[in-house]
Amino acid sequence: MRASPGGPAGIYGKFGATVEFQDGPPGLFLVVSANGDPSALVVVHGGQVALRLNGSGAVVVARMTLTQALSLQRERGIRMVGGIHMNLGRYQALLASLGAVGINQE
Amino acid sequence: MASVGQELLDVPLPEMVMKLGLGVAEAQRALDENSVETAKLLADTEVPLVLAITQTIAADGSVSFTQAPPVDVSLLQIGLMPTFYQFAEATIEVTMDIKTTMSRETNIKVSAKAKVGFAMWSASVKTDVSHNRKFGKEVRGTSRMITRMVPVPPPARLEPVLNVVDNRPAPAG
Repeated sequence: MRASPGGPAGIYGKFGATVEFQDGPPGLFLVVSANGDPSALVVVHGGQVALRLNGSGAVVVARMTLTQALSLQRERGIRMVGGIHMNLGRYQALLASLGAVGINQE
Repeated sequence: MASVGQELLDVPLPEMVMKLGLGVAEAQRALDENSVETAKLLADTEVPLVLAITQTIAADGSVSFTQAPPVDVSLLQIGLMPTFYQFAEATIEVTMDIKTTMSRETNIKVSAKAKVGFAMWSASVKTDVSHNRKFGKEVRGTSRMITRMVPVPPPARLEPVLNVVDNRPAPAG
């Protein structure tokens, strides 16, 4: 059984038992499709596309819950779904090392 | 008939604990592999990062923008990190409902028969006694396994440490 997209919890029949996932808060997931744009599948499973990462459109960053991500991972066209998060400290350090200094007004 | 205590002892708790432990370990390995794959992809995917955009407002009020040449950096360098998950807690609950019943039933059937004939008579008494003892046992069991998974910081050595060595001579002052 597939979890209902956007539902509070997903229930699966596995190992001869009922397996239930309780939803946590939504997070960011890297979604890689085997071919084509995975955006439609992300939306079908209740997620939102936050960022497209390359020209082919096969890699997107989506905002969704873990249950939705697990449900999406079962799709044939999806190669990988992996949780990610943004480390702002590291981002700031990179910008500083490359010389980006914010807004300068002359 | 097995006693209630024996029924409780027959619950394969060690086996359940072992299988839960193995299941958690296998799931943890799959999760770690997934996070490592994500890290590889983040390291391999590069995006152009524009470090500076200059907005120029001319004397006549017209606005123009120029941007610095983009620098290709990986998503991992930018700060997008894979999320690692860890099983923080595992609980097994076993609930058993044992019901035993016993009933005893005794049936006695007595029949008498007499016959009188010419110069003779006969009589007979027939008794049938039957005992039935019925035992009933009903055992219902449910088990529930709960695991709690939490995101944890990535391993310390996953992200490359950025060190800047500036060998320029100090400005004369």
